[in-house]
Amino acid sequence: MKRVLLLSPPGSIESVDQELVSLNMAGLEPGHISLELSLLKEQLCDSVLLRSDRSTPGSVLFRVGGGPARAYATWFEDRLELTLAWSELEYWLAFFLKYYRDGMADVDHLDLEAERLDAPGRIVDVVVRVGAYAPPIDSGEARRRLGL
Amino acid sequence: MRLLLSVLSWSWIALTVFLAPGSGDARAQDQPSCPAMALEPTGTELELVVHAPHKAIDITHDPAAPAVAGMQLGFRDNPFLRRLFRPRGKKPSARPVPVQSPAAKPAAPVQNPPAKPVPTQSPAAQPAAPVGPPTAIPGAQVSRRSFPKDTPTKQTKQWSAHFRSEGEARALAREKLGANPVEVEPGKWRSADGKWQYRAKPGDVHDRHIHLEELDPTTGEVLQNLHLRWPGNGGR
Repeated sequence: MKRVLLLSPPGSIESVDQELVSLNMAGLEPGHISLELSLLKEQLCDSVLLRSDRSTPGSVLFRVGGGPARAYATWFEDRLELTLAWSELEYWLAFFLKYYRDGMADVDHLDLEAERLDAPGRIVDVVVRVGAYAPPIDSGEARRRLGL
Repeated sequence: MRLLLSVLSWSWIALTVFLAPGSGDARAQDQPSCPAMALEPTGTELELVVHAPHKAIDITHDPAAPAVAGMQLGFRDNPFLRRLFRPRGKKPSARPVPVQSPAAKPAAPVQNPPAKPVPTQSPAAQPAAPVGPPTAIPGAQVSRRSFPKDTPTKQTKQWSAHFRSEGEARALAREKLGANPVEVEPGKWRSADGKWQYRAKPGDVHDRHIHLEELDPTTGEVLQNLHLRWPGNGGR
């Protein structure tokens, strides 16, 4: 079974030279994303398609699978297919569940490096952006937390 | 008389340095894989200037430090100059210092000028990797060591902090990395003990942030991921 998540504005999918892909999930509810990721994790669906009618590329298909890398990527004409490692899926799910619980994410984005299957040796940097996130602390507090 | 002797000596030095086939420039040219070099004796100091393809390094020879690269490259075939530039209080060795090809011995770490004198190290203490491509961290070396891949998990703690400028954010990341950072892949540097990672890919910098991550040095698990941000008008 394939699930579909439709991105509405301000959500978007953007790509730069097939090397950097930005997924702006601002238009989606974190609870909705968490449920879809949970379906993947529990193997109650085969894949989740994130689709935008206003972007190029138009969609990103998520699957889950094994392999040493955090994720593998394959480009088709207007679609990127991402196969996430189990640990990566759990990382994303924990991120969106906290976002749902707190009403804001810890940070404004997640980064993912996916190894390309269609171009060995190359990677795709995927950035997943969210709409609400905790405000940054000031530099003095950061230094204190880091023991500097 | 003293003046005449001095003039004659320096003339002889100049002729030896620039005409002798074993002199620094000629030797550097003979090494196909060696970057362009020039040896410049100045008073009691010797400057070895290496023009690598991507950056220039100035290494000033400290006469107190024996057998630096410049001595090996330029003066082993010239007993007069060896005596002239030998370390203070030391007699010249009866055997010439062997010249090693760049392939046989890794180059000294790149330092942006003004560089400090490079101490001589035993072969065992030589850095594991030669000078690599340009990096955002002066002196960082490209790793040949295998560091574990950085992997965030559901336990990874994430937070962000804002800084007045890009420079301030980068300075904090460099400070946390400490001495002898290692470039593990393009846009990623690790502290020598593998505990901290500074990640700054072009997309991150374009978005006005970099990452400082605490890792488990054994597994590469990202324990915490700090986003260091700066404002659009913060400058560098």
